[in-house]
Amino acid sequence: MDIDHIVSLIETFNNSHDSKIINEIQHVLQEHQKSDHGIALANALLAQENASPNVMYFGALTYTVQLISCLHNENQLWIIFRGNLIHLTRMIVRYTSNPDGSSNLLVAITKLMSNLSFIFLTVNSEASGPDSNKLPAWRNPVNTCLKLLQHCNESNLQEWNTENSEIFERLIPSCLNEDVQYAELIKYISSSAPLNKLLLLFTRVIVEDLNKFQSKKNSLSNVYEMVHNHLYISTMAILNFNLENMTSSSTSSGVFPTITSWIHYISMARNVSAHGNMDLTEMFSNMINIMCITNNGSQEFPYSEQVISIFDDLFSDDPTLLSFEARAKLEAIFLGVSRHSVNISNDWMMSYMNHLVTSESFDDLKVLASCVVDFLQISNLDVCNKLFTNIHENSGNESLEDYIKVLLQLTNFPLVPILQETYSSKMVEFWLDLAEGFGNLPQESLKANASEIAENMFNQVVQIYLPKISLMNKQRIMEEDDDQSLLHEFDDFRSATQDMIEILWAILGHSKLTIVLIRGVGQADTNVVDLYQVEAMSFLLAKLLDGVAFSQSPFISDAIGENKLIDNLLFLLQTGCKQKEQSKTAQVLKLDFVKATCNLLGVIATYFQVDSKPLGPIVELLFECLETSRQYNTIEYSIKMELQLNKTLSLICENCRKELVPFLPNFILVLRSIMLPESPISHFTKEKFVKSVGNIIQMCVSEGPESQASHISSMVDMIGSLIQDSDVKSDTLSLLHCLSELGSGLSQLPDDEEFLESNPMYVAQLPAFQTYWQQDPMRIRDKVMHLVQYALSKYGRDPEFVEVSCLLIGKAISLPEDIPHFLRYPLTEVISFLVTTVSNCDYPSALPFIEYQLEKIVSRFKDAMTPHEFDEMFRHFFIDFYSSHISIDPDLVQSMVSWVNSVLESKPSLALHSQYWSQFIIPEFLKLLQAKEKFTITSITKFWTKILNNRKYTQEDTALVNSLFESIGKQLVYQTMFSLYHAQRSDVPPYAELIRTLFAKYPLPMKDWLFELLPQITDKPAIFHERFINKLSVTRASRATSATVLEWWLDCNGLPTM
Amino acid sequence: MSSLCLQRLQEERKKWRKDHPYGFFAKPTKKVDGSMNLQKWEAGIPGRDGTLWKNGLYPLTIEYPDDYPSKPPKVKFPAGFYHPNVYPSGTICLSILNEDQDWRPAITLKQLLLGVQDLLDSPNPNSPAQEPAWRAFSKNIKEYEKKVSDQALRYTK
Repeated sequence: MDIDHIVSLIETFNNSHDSKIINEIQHVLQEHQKSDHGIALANALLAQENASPNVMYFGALTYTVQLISCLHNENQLWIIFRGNLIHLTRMIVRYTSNPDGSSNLLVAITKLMSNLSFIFLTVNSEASGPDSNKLPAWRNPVNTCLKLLQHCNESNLQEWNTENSEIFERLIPSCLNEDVQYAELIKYISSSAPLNKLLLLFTRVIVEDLNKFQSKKNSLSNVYEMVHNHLYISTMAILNFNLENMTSSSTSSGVFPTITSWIHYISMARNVSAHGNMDLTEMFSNMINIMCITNNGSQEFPYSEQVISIFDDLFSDDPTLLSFEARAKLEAIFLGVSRHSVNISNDWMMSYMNHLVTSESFDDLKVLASCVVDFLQISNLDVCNKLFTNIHENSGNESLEDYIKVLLQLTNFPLVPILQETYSSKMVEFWLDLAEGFGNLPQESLKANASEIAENMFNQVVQIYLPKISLMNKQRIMEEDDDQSLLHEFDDFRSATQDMIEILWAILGHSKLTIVLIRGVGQADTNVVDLYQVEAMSFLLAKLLDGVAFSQSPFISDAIGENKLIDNLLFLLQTGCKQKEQSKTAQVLKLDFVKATCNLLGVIATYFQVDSKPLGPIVELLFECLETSRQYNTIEYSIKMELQLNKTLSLICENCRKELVPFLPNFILVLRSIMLPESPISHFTKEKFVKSVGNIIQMCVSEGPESQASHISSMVDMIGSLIQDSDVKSDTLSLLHCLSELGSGLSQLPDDEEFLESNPMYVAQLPAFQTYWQQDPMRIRDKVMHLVQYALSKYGRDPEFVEVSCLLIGKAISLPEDIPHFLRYPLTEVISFLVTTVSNCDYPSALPFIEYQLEKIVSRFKDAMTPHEFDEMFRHFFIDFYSSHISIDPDLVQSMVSWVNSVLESKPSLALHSQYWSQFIIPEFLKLLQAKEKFTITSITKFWTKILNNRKYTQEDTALVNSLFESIGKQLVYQTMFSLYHAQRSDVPPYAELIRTLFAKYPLPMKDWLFELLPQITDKPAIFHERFINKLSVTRASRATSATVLEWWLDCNGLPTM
Repeated sequence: MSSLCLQRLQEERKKWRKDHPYGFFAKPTKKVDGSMNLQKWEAGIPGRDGTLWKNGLYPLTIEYPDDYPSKPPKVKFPAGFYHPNVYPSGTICLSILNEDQDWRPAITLKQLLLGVQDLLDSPNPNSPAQEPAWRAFSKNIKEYEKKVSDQALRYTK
């Protein structure tokens, strides 16, 4: 081993930028570290007086490698243990004698400490307990370190090495568990700040490692005990001495991280060990004291931020570590009032907050808010009980009132939320929990005036949050900071407030909350209206009014009607859409205005069934905004606004179709305008708008079907002329979608009985409309068919056109018979359309859409259909394409099988008596069991399962199927087992289901078939198959069959079973 | 509902309120009597920026079984949701939601919803759950992208 060469390699390794060189050297160095001479190498590198920090760190790291990867026996561990102690002691002496000049030693020192912490854990863990013939327990690394330092200081540092047998063999064993008295310990740390710093570091490294290893080791009980009995005592002495003698922030630099690590350790250990519980009262008391230290006439708070940060973590992670007394003290300090008669002023808190506000230290203020609110959450239940119940009759009501007053003041912290203060956002959680706590209290425990107290308090909470969630604050955030995360935080704050309001509603009810907000939005005069306030209230109202049945809530409906709610909402919408301000901030806020209005208008859509007067101005403004928003907004934002407007319009039209009939001419006017090719409105919006118009036309029943038909006809004509004039493929496609949406708009009914009950005219007219649409005197169906065929003649190879055409022509197939519809084509016409389409389209891509219509046709017309018609359809759509397309494409196979399955589900006799049944379906579908694609396998196994087990069979069908299985049963079992054997694991379940059904239906022949067939499929021994068959018999076709089949498959494929 | 289930769901609710990713929402539904139904939640997942899904906020229902967290919740989009790994019923096929695969009781609501968000733009073609989206994703990516974009408009944020 050439040390100089290795040193040179280490230096090159750390200084090179060539990854190839780095990799090569790393490999060589790792070999050395893991070799038999690893320990000698570590010693040699660490012993070098003038070695660089890299070399020393590498020496310490070599010890780590030996400890973790190369430890063979206790002797080796003992050597490493002593080596680490010797090197650590020597480095500490070097460091403490010249801390400024030796700071580069800290990396190696920390690594040696970490090695020793690993050894501490290893020798003290249960596996190396006192009874075993192994190393002795190691009680306290801090004491050992101090004792060795004492000896080292008294001897020549040159002699302090692993070669010195006096130290190595005698001194270390004797010092290992020697005690250090408190006074001695304090003498050491008070006389040397660098040593103090290193001891804090050492104890911190040990507990951090214990935290790290806790999840990996199960036998740390002895270690916890050792820490509890020894290391904890030394550490607390050091920490408390430091806290009591804090002189400057520099001396505190090592204290707080060590405190944090110890809190984490105890928090973890007390959950897993009886020895994990350690009292921290003195330390916390000292921390509170130094938190409150101020200098320079309350201008400086040297330790407050650090202590508060530690408390913040503590309260959110494990608040009960802090004793009740300490919590009571903190409560008084934080709030100036106490629920426990602690008489401490909060002057410090007021000064500290004032300092943070005036110095604009908003990050520190955020930590303080988080700390205080997390602290408050600890006692939420107690506050709830004291405030609302008789449980604490004797507690001072006055102090509690003051307490609540302070909490309300904190919530109302007079700065911009999120940007400058986070009390308000953090307190949402507190109020929400308090409200829920109140809701969960048993009625009999409540004070007589509990509701009054709650209402009064939560009313104030609502009043505080309204200005806090105002978009004015969002504006401030955007103007002052580019940080997107702050905006997100503000949006989250608003959502959280919305959730809280929903909970508060359970206490305040409509009368004290919803109505107050409705009046709040509605009372403002539009000349002096505060739009931000209107927005904030609307934002909250949308949550409260969601799901309200306005027809049954006159209280709310009257409030909406009596106030200027709608007027002010429209003003908000107008400002959002039509103010020509396109800065980024303005656009974001304007979109929020639009969202709030649209959302609330959508939520109260059913209100307009009660009072339809506002519908006129609402619809008019929505149209106007839809048409013109692009003039006032950037493209990006106008698209977003358009989606919001369209969504609201759709909701209003869907819910108020009857009430909107008088406005139909306006709708059609607007529609004509936005449908023009040059209109910038998106295809999506146009399509949905047509659907909305369809909704209204559906209710044009008072003047008979002719009037409705004329509206439909003019819509179809308008769209038709656009189709014929269009040369743009995507426009034509969208226009076809518009026709389809018109059909959808006229198919929809609100699905409640109430609608039918309250629209007797509609119900009374249904028969007349049915007759009308059967005859279709205006030949609207022909017009639509012509348009579809025209579009398909141009773009029929494009599957999107086939899809929308099929949807359009098949629109009314699934509708109940008694709902009249202008697109109710006779069966022959639909079939004829599909036959024409299938012969002109790109078959592979269009078949799924055609097949979907075929499924609907069978489901709808099954009673009238005959096997001959099945044959015709099967031939036209599948047989004619089988050899050219279907047989080579598993997706098409799946479509074909799916259709046959749908027939088996609707009326199996249609398929069973088909001419193709025995000629084609049975032989081909047997072969298809060997398919390789998941959906094809699912379909084909479903087919065979449906054949075996079908409730829709007639007696004749059953007889036919039974005779079929007599002839092909064995073949089916062979194909199934063969295909299963060759399937992927994820495809096993559908085969298993088929096997289960086979076993249920034919238990006896199934066994014989399997005995005969399985040896032909795999070469496994007979006993193997026998076991499988017996297991299958035992499962008796239950769900357990799947597991048995899977097990067989795993065995066959040599995979481990579960 | 077992006390373990109740405790865990309360914990999940608390954790979610304290820390959830931006744009997501999740909360227990209400029973008919107005009380909270902790076993059935409604949630929303925003499509990730820079993906086809970005414009939408996709609604979900989350149903926790009585033996949660031993068993995973059932997470569903609305029926007919277009995605290769969503069954026609809306049930999501994702390994972390499958008791026999990667479900672990320690998985949180946040991890779960982030996992679903991830799935939106990274479908797993090896675990198809619905045929139309799977076929389009595998064989006609243009059609797939168009359908996903249209769906995003329907679920606009």
